[in-house]
Amino acid sequence: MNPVLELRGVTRTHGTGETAVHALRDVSLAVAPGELVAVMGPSGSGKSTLLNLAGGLDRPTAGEVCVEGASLGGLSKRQLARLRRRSVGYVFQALNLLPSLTAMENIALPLELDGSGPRASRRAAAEALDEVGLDGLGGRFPDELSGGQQQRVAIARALVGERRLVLADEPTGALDSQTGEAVLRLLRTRVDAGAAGVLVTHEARHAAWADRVLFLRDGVLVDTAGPLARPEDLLESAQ
Amino acid sequence: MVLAMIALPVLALTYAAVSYDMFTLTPEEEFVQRHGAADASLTWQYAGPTTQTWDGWSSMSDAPLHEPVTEREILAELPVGSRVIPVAESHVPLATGTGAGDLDAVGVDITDPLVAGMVKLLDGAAPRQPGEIAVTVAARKRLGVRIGDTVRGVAGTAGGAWRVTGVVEFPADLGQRVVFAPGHVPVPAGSGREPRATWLADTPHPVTWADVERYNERGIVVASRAVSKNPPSPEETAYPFDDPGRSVNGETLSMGGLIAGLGLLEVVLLAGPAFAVGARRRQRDLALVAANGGTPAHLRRIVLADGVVLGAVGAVVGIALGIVLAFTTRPLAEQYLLQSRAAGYRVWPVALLVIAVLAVVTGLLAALVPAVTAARFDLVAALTGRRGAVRSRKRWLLLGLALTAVGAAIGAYGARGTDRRAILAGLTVVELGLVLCTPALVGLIARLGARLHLAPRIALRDAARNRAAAAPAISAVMAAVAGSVALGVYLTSSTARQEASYTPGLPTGYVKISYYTDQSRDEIASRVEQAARSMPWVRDTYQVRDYGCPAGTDPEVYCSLWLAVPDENRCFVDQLTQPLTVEQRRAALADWRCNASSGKFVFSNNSFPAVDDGTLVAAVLDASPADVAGARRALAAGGVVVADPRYVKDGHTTVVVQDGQHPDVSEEKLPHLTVPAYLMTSGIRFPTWFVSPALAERTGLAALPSALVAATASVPTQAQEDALRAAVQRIEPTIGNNIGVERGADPQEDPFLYVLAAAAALITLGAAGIATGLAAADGRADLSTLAAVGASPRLRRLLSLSQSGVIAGLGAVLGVAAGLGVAFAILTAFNRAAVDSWPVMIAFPLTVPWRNLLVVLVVPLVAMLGAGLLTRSRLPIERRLE
Repeated sequence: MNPVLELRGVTRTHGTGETAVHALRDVSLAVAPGELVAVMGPSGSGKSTLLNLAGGLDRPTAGEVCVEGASLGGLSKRQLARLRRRSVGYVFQALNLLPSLTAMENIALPLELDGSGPRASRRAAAEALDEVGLDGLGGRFPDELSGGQQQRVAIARALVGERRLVLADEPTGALDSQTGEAVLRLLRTRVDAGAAGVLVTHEARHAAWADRVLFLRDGVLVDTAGPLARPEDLLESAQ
Repeated sequence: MVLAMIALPVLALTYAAVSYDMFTLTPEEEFVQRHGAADASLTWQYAGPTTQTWDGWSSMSDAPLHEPVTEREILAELPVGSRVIPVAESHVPLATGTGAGDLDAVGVDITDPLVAGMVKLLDGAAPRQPGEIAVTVAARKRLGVRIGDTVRGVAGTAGGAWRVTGVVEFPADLGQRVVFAPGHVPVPAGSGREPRATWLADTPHPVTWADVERYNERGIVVASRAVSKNPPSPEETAYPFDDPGRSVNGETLSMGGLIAGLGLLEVVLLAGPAFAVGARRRQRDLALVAANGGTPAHLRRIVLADGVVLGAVGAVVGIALGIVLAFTTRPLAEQYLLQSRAAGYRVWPVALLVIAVLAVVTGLLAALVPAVTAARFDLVAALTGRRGAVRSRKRWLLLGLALTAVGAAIGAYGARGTDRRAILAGLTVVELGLVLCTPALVGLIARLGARLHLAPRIALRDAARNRAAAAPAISAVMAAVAGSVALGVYLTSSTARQEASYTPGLPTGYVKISYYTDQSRDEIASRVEQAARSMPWVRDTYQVRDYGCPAGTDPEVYCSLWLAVPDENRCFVDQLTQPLTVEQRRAALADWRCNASSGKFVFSNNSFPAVDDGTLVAAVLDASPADVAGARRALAAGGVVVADPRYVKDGHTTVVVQDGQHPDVSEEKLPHLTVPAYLMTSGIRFPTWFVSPALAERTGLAALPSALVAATASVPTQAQEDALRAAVQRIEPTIGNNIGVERGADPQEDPFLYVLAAAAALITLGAAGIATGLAAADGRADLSTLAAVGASPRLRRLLSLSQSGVIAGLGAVLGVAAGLGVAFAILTAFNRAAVDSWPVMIAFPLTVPWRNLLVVLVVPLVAMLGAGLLTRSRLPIERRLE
């Protein structure tokens, strides 16, 4: 099966000369449909950089990033924007909902941006809202929702439509453990339905939801493991 | 941004204060500019006692004018040991670079120490010989000469020639002037313009007010240096209209205070949102202070301290720049605005101190609301970066509505009594009311925007969520635009009103050349016509014939004819000797016979009665073809053509003839003729009449050439007029003085209104700039999110553009509505108050100042475009990586 996301020898360096910071060095990775990959590592190890490269928000200094077979390096800004609308769903730790749009409008945003009619967009958004268990709250603005509810809206926005790749950057960071578990369950469900997912997390118990766990240190992929029975063991061994 | 918003108005205020101070001469400085280093300037005006203003500007007397006096005669009136020099002023016809012109002439020894400060030699040498002159810069340009060139006389000074020896300047008047050697100002032949000399005197002791009164007894009008320093009180002066000193009256002060208050409000409205944005950006910092034990008072003080510091820095920067600007642009203001030199380079310390204090207070006031908001915020929300929604309170809306209504009532009351203070006070209260209503209005409009496209929808809702910052910015734009539009309405309406009250004599740009000459008029008329036709800008010419005594009549005999108003067409007011009662005023207003002039009281000098066969009526009245045909019929039937309905009764009018045979009889006993009359209903409303050649012949009067009308495509320039004058002066010198150009109404407006309009436009631009900044500051995080979910760069630009547009556009639209509403309400109230006034007052038409509106509406568009273009379409993360 062709991978949805593929990184080939990707390097990302910020700055030049003596002040150059190597955020990622020669990382290769493939994520297949139906596969959830967790990325772990200490702060500054390159986790978020990897996610930004995967979503086309950033360009590699060397190597190649492909989403659904298309190399991102050859795409224009407009084409990258279209890719993010149609193929990639983002979930941020800081929620990043537009405060001026209702929950429903936030979820419908990628579809509306892609030119879908208001009615079709709202119907799809309503389904996504129902899927994350927020049926009836579509008319509320983000400020009128709890942190957990906001994160579910963010996930619904990342999943709405036919997205094949879901990128989640510590989606449970601002949530209590119970709500966090619920959010991850949603992510897992979506991946099981055929999407590919990348989950950046600090917590081994969250990584346990993944099919594979990658460990990054100083921008280098240092280890890979299968599903974790005891993720704490992996953490200990890596340090 | 806050700094700029405070510094800009401070700069403008400083510029105005420093310029005002430099251009407001002290009485002594003014004396020096007008009378040099003399102790007094004396003019022996009358042959008997006179009274005068303390500064000698104006005088009156029942005595006849005094003959010009000699130096010996004037010295005989002064204390022993006095010295005098003459300053003779006149007009002299000279050849200009493009033709001929009548220039101001002064005969004075500019090297005498007594004229120091009054006239200054800029270049070359003083004229000493009869054939020498010095010229001002403006005169040099018109004459088209340089030092060493020769200027030739024309008309009455024809044959004269003067070598230009130098360039001079009169600080009190930078206009066109020519200086002749003392005693050698040419007197144009036949003009009777013997220059009356003013004598600059150096006296052994100061000339006091008692001395001035003593000189007045002899008929001498005096301007004294000592009196200008210590003017007499009104009780001491016999002149009825004297106003010693330059007291600032209460109205000026209160108007100034109100305008300053409006300005302060504008600045607070402009700087407030910028502070709010700054405070929001620092919300997390402030939350950390709170989390570490800072009380709300601490937070308030932090934000308020910002206000004080920025106010102080804004004051220093604005005052420094304002002084530099005032000093550097002073020569331009002297040359082009005031046409006179300012006093020394100086500042006005008290005014600058007030402005500085005002700036600090403004900074403090602008920081007040953000400070209170900062002290009340949700700590957890601030620490987690969440932004709360703001709801406008109903009580503010109600208060705003109440203030708007009260302000409108005050303004209308002021308009009824034409009390400018009340009008301005009303406007201020309306503005305050609208400011308080704006947040609710923004919320309302945001709710209506649910079905809009994504970008404007987000922008509207952003404005509603952040209304603490957006509403003042919208209010600032609204207030500035409203003020600008209201002023624009007044200016255009006032101009239209002045134009409506003016009766032109000819179509605009046409020229009338009158002949008052003893020479054969037919020959003169023919030559003047040739001269006029030689001008390329003259399209056509028409001879005007007036009626007068036949050839051979004694020159002392007066011949004319005029129309009588039938008794039943007379206005009853003409018979009254007492002031009109209200009922009489209303009756007069309702009576067409009293309203025949319809308030058109300003008549052009270019109007004339004429003997005409219909040619002139068709050519110079801009009348409809039907009217021209009617006029031709009446003239062919031996009748007259008029524009005043009072002269016409049953299609006829009565002509009274003074044929020179009955010089001393009353009007009733003069011959009366009843002739057909045609009443013109279109075109120029001339106050005179056109009579047919047959009627002129019937009355025994002669139709004599009296003037030539030259038709033009546009108003001739000074150079074109000079060329025509030179051409006709070659035929007959005095005709050059009788050229009249129809320039239409010349509306006189207070230049201060234009300054206010310009300031309003500047504030609109500043507020639109604020709107752009606000949009950029507020939208930063949202732009990143939009980019991450796939918004195209175009949409991100569109969002910025919409955010700016919501503030600037909404402010502009509300401002236009408020400005038009307020101005129309005030003008309507004024018109209603004037309905009963007598004589008839032309109402202020409710005009829309389209040019003004265009500028006002273009400014927000520019701001929107600026916001759109300045928005970086790349993602923040992309920018970071480059």
